[in-house]
Amino acid sequence: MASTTPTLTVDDPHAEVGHHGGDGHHDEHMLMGYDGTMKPSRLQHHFVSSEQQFDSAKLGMWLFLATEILLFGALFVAYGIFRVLYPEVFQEASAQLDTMLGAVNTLVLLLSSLSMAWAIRAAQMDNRKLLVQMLVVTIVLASGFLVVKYFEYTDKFAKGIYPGYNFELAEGTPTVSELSGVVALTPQVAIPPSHGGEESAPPDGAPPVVGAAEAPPASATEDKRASPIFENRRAGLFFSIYYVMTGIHALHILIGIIAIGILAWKANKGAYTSVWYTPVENVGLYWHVVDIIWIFVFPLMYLI
Amino acid sequence: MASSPKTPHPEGQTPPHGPGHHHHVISDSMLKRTFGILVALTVLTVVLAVLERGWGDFFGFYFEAPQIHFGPFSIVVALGIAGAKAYFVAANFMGLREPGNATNRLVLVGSTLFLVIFFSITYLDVAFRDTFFELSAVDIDVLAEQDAQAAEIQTVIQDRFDAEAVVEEADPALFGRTLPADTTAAPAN
Repeated sequence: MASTTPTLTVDDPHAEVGHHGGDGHHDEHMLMGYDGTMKPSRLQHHFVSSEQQFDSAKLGMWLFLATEILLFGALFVAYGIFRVLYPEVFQEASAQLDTMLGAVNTLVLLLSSLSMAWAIRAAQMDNRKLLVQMLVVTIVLASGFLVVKYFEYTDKFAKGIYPGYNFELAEGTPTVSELSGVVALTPQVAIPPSHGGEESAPPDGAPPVVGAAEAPPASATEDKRASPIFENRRAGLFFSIYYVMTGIHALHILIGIIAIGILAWKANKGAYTSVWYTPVENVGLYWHVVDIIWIFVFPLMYLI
Repeated sequence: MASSPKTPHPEGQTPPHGPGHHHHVISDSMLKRTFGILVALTVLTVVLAVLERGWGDFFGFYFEAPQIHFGPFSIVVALGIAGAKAYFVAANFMGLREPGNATNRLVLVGSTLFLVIFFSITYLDVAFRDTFFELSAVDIDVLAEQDAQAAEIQTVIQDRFDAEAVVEEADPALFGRTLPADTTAAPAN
């Protein structure tokens, strides 16, 4: 029986027993969908109602998302610790990150969150075509994010910016491992490079002296490496945290793309209806958390 | 058997069922409005960062901007804006504002609260290293006084610290025989 107002009905355990479909859906519990037709509810025997089943699945997903928050939270705390200890390293190093590319990535992810939420709305309204379209749009935007990330990373590799001790310091800069004595937790003041090309050997145990080896003039790479960060022996610290955080985040985006891809394929076959669209809802929740994480990564890495 | 909405469910509390209760469909105007707010906040945070730095680089186009020093407020404001954006995503896109999501709200707030505690206590530890001279139960003035006394005593007895040799030269005739490996007492005949 199609109702005049297109709304979802929730099965009532005290309602009339029945709601079983015909035409190949015998012995299957059916509920009225948004568009007024009866659809299989996929209600499992250990749940009282479809709504309870849906809410349980959502709670399970939220609990997993709490662990994701804790995972990235630990990385943020690591960022916080080293930022407090070496503020000038962080400030110089973050100038190497392109703010506008980061802002573009933020807007791309926000748009992808919108399209994901719209996909859920399409599922709730039994609009299969729109659901598939919105899922595909989300995948395209997420891939765009990864493409921008690819360009950011390759640009850094071209300048010799690698994580940790792989960071290519300027010639003559003493590394952290060459420190003698206990200097572990003291903030390090970056000494600006001396112009004029004097060669000076670093004395033992003294604060770092910048060996200003004369760089070959008009070299494209050396122009890019003009920043004082390349003479700062703790530069690798910032970039370790940068690569790990954005790397793990990019991995989450990739996993999301795969999951949404599977959703789009299944949605195209008609697996999701207004009566049962739980996987779409849960992958949507995951995707929004990935977006929220980037919302925090962006100001901390790029803007400060 | 007709359904009776007023019959209490034997298995515990469930939201009121029956023909009157419906799932919410996300409203499209709310989605668009939320997206607009998020974009506006993003633009705001980028503008504030450019003002803080005094310069900006828009895809190769370098421009100067009036530099406003926010000092320590910059990170507070930046995180505040990020928090606001996260709130809008969580409340509107993730459906936390809808009824029946109280437990999910609790999960999110709880994990965030844990993070806040984790971060703030770690910050208190790390930010104040090398700040205090001593961490002991003894009063600092008492310690200073003891230091002063020790310094005074030190100056008085300093000359006694010059070491005197207690061990003297070995006596070769002590045991009535020559000592082994006594190369000085073995001249070649």
